[in-house]
Amino acid sequence: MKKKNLLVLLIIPFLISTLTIVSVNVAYNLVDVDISYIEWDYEDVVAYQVSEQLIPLKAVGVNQRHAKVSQGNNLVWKAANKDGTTEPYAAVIRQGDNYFLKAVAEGNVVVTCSNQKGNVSRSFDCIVFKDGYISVRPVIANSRVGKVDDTIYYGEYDFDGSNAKKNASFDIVVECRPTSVLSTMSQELVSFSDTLDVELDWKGATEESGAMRVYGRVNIDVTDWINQSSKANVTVKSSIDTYKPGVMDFEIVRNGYNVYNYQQLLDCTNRSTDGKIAVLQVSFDSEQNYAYYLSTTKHKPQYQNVKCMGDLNGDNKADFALNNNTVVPIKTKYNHLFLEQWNAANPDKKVSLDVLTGLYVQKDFYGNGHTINFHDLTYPSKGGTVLEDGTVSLPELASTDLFRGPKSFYTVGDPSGQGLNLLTIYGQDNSGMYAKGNLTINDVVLQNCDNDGKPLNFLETVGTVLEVDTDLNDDLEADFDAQIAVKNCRLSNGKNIVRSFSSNLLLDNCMLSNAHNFLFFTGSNKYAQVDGNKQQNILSTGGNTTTTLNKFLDEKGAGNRILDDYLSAKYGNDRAFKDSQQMQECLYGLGGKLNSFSIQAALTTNLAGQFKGQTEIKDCIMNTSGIASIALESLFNGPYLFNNKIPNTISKLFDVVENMGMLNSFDCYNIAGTSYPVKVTISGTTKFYDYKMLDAIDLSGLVHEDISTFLSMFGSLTGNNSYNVTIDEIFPIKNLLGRYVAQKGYDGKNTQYSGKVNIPVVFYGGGANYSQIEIDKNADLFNEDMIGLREGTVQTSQVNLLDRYIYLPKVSPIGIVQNLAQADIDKNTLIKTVTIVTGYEPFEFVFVNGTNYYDDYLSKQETNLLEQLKNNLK
Amino acid sequence: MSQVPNNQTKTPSIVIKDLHKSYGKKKVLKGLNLEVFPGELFGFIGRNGIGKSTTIDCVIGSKKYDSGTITLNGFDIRTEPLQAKGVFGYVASEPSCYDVMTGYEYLEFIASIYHVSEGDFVRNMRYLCGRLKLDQKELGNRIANYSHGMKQKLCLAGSLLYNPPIWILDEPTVGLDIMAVEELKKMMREYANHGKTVFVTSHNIDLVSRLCDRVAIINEGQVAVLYDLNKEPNRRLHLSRAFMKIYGEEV
Amino acid sequence: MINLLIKDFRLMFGNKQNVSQQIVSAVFSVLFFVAFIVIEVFLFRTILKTIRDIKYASTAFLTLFLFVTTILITVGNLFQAKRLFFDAKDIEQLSNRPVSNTQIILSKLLYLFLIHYATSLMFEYPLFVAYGTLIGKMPMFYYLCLFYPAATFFFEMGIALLLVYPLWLFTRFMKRRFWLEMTVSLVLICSLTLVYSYVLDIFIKLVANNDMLTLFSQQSINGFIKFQRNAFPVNFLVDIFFNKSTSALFPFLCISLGVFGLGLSVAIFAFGDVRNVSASITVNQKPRPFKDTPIWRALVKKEFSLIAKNSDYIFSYTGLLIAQPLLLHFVIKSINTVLKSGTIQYFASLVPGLIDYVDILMVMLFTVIINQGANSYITMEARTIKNMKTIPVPFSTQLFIKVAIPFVLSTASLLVSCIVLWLTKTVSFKIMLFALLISIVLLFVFQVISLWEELSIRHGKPRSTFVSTLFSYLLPIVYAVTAIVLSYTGLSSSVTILLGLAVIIVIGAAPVAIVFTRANDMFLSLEAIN
Repeated sequence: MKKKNLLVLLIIPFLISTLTIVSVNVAYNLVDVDISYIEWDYEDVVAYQVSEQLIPLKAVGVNQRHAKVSQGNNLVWKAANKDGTTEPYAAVIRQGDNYFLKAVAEGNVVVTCSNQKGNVSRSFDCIVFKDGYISVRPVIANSRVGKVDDTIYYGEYDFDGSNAKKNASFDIVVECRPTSVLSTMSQELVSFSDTLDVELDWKGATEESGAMRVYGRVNIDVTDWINQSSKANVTVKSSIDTYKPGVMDFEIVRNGYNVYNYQQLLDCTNRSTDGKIAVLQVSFDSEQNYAYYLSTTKHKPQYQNVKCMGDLNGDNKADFALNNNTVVPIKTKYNHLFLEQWNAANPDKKVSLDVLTGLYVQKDFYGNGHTINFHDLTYPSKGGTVLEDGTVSLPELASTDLFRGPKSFYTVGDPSGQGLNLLTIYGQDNSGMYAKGNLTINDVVLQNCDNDGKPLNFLETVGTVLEVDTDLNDDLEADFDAQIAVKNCRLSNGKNIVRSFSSNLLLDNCMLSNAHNFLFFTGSNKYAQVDGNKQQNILSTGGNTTTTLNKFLDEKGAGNRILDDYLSAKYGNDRAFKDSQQMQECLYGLGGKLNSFSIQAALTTNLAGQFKGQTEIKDCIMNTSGIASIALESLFNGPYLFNNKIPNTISKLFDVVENMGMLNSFDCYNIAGTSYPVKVTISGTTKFYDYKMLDAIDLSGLVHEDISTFLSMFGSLTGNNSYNVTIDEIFPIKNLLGRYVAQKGYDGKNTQYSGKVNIPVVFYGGGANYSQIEIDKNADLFNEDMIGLREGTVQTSQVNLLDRYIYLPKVSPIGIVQNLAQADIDKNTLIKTVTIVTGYEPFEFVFVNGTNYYDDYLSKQETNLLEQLKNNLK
Repeated sequence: MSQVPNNQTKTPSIVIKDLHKSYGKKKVLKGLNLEVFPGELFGFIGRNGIGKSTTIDCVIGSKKYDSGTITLNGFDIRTEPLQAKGVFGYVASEPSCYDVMTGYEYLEFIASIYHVSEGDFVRNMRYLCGRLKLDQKELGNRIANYSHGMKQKLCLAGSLLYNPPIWILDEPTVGLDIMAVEELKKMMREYANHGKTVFVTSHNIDLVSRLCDRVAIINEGQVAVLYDLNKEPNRRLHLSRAFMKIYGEEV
Repeated sequence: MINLLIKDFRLMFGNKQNVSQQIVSAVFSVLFFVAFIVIEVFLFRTILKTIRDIKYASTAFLTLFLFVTTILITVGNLFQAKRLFFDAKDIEQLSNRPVSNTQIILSKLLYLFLIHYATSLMFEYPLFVAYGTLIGKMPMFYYLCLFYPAATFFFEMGIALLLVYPLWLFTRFMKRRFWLEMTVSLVLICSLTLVYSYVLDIFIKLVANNDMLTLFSQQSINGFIKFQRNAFPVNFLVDIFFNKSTSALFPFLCISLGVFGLGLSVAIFAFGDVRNVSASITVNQKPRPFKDTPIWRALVKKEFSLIAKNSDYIFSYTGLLIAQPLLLHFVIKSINTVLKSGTIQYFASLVPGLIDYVDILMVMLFTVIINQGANSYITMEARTIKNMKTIPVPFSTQLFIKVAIPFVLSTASLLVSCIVLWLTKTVSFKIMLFALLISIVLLFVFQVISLWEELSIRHGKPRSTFVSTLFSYLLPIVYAVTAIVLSYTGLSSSVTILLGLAVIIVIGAAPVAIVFTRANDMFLSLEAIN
């Protein structure tokens, strides 16, 4: 009996591990959830006298989310000298779970509180004084999420009414401790730059929490921009040298307008024809966060530095509409040939060619570390509710929601949303901020919504966070001398974070995080359309023939028969080709190498090296994407987009289904082509913190499909209406990626780290993709960190859908109603239709070398990400 | 009813007084009295299930008894068990030695328990193996592979290894070949002649009648009769008849 | 013939246990079997679902899985045949009976067929059902699969019969050389442990981290497809049963019957030959010069021999003691991995210290279950109980040494296990210390209870192990559950663990007191069999 006991014991680990699968299916909930933010009572500047006494440090990690906070969220404290010296002016001492500050020596210190993981933090400045101190600072507090660029910016002008301007002025407060220091100060001892005028209300000095405070006002008046400096400062001294003078430095932004409320923000952007330089002095948060902030903050109203993003309507909801400039429509420059042909053919179901944006920026934009949260504009107003078991249901679009997902580049079915949309390939998307021109965006926190902790596919329809456009003359090419520089910014929570098409962009010292698809999405709007009349040498049924695509891909052409055989996997002597190898060579080529006599080659124009835009990504942090950090897009360019009347298998089906009123298919012709390339350079200390479980990769954002509903419609005729065709079956990139990851990758480098992968770059497949990415010589990242990079491109990073579909056998017809029998349609045929639409070019994935990069990633996770951005500036 | 043999005025080595023993309600020994003297070869016979082994078990301290006293060389088996157990060598009807050991290891174990010196161990072992025809090479073999007879010989050697003053044998001849039985008889005789006490139970009436000095036949939980065969030699011829008579069997 | 068959069944399944033991043993067997089948089918289905849409992958994978089960069943057949053909008593009994050799062998073959069919059906049929439901097979397929186990009998049993005689000769050769036997057994146990850890590791990787994709790469699938070609007999059987190809039937039958015939003739020869080969196994150990050792050392040496030199103990105690550190490390490491991955990590984080308590529970269970292998202190003496009663050594000393040896051995193995767990950072130092402490106390109380059960053996009936089993399984589980509940209510882990220790000491105190006071008396009342 004893041996049996031991065997039962040995079975236990197996039983427990099967539990994980059961538990995964049971609870779709949010496990890795962090605290929302840190709440405390400290003001932006705090002063302590040098002493042995331990000052308790108190803060609370606020969790506004719907699930239990995961490990690594206990709060930890750090202190660092502001001047970078190593001898500490103040030291943080830990006793058990409590933290204390000890003022050690005179000097300025930044005290930071963050969660152990380091992705949520907040700091305050601390002045350590021996006998006394004097400080000068703005009355309105700094940004709640801290600044990357420590310089304080003020615009040259303030708004005076809706469009008029006046010289800028702002309130300051002079504080001194102990109270006796006040007597040693006077207006004579106050000095300031020649571009300023400072008035202090000495008589109105008040005592607050052991310190004397004198309020005053700074007026800016720059009369001669050539000889006067934009750098300004206010210095307040004491008559006694022992008290160090209080100094406030800031920078004046020429022609910059200070923004204190939403109307002024619109005046600088949407309501201004050429745009004005905006300098934010407050944050603009979602209505819910704004209400919560008001209810909890104990500061006096005038100190408050958060406003609501959008006009609050009657029932306290932020209101956005096309007619009041809160949302700006912009005509899409991405390929919209199909939409134009659709609108012409379906006047009653017209689809707008405009994409929307919340802020249309044409001039420089200074954030001062403040936040702009487009939540109430972009986030679906229904759904996202918390169920009893802690799980959250997917958000749904209400009829009134403006942001409804990307435009359609091509749709099988009805793109207007009134009929069945069987398959849609996306074009351009709406954006939170749309920047057009030759400008700089500095130190702003942009997020399209609050999605903390929820799965990334909740960001399906919230659009791009920042779209840049330096194609000023709208010729679909980046203007040579125009560039948008986005510096020290933190951009997060969008379907894509930054989108740059046919533009020149510099991303410098930014953090991009939480994208449903990609953190940086680039490509070109310009493309070379397919030349249907050009004589081409194409491999056909009887061998190579010289013909034109118009003839070859016609209903009577050989291409029609070839594609039919491909869809139903019919090979043999009586078919188009003897075996699948020949079919593969005719469609594209073997083993991921383009055969010059293939259909795909005929559809493609060689545009190598003709770059229509370039981007440099310098010192950035790429953090958490659904698929990959950087995506280089190219148009899908399948034979079906050249002529969607072939192959017969599909067109016959759509005709029959159309007669039954179940699908509104539409004939369009030669709507695709070959995209012009763009170039991306990675330089400086750019890091890719984007490890994810392979299974967690979510491709549902790439294409929209509703094949399951389509098949169920048949099924309802035959009584079997349950079909669940998932995106991973239609677009099996993840499955093929898994195969590739499981191998060792190129020359023994490991592409995964215990099941996690980090994909910094993906090159779109389908149509030809000539875009290039390179790593700057002196970048932190080395070439061999990136496996399968284009220069050293190796075939192993290819994910070739054709390899997969060529084998997909025909399964027995799924009980199709008799009159559709001749359409001979089955699930696999429909799935293979996807490649006929997208084209056969393989997708190319670049991986970060698993092992050593991951350890660096883990170690870097400890120092918080804001600190990493700040360190880059030192 | 104990009779003192005429040539023995010495103190008895085994004294059983008023021994009572029952298994649950069934009384097996009802006040048994017996004395065995040094230099004597004492036979203890009786029908199956009459209480022979029970008596032996009580004598060697293997079973509890209800009342009465048992002393071996003056040591009471109940109050001074260790001393009492140090003065006898016991051989059971079924050989009880450890299959996992080799014969040699078993003898070594016994010698260590009874503090036999190295010299005595070698001498006694060689002598006993010789007498019992136990091949020295066999001692290197595992007991598990011994035949029943070899095991019994090993136990016999083990029981005399430390030269105990009292030698108690319970059905010793079971499983032994004829030569071994004859040799054992000689050894028992010699051992008694050397002034030791030999106490043997057996079904072999013939063996007892020819070999023993005195014989006790047990019945109804007591010694039914006690014959001194040296004094009444003719009893040796009719012992089986007397045995049958006691149990009411046809002669 | 039928009576010979019934005799064989009684010989193999004859039971020396009392009714309660038989019930408990049956429960454990069913529990173990059901758990094994659930895991086997789950593993098979999960993998098949992932790779089924790749051409030829499904049948190739099925062939591989069936080939592994074929090997396991053939090994099972081999040991069954050995026990059946070479049982010394059976040979002795039959040698002088008026029964012909052919009758004996035919009854044994019938027995082997029934056992083979039952085992194959139990382990392979669930796979066919899983395969059929996933790939979509007609009802006829499920009926045909009932004949699969029968079809495999000839080849698998043929191989077993071919190897049974060499195996018997080897075991006989081994039994003569104790140290050879010990080494071979230990090597076998350690390799089984490593195989177990390898399988467990793959399973955890597969299931806990959702890494199905990363393990079944294109290369491994191509490997399955290549392997399928020469995986006889399964490849032929799969063609016959799954691809309904009749061309494979004839070659399969020829080869299988050929192998079976060969195996049968070897078995017949062996059955005849074995009767005149002396069953006795002579071990020639040169006697060492005798050294007078103190009594306690002699007793320790004796106890050690009873445990170490008995080949049965190697597999149920001494071998496992040596494997315990390795086993515990792999089991606890994999359980921790599981409890720290996927969404189960969320549930685990609701109860602070859950993982620690589960680890401690595992240490307790392993320690006590393995020790069970050596706690038949009196039963193992069998005939030599009378020796214990007659030698001039107090019973308490003898009993103390009897209990002390396994206690010391188990504690040593436990100590090594805990150190390994700590050094490999599988558990923290504090938890290691607590686990060690609690397990030692549990072990001590468990052994005392076992001694009490042994001393209560009466009238030749086998020992009732109800209380000790209850104690060895239930108490640790009750302890772990209470610890988890207490920690959920917020009690600190150190207090919870110490509380558990106190509870075990209190519960254990009663039996310990009883045994210490009445051991002598109980020992004396023990009946010696001879």
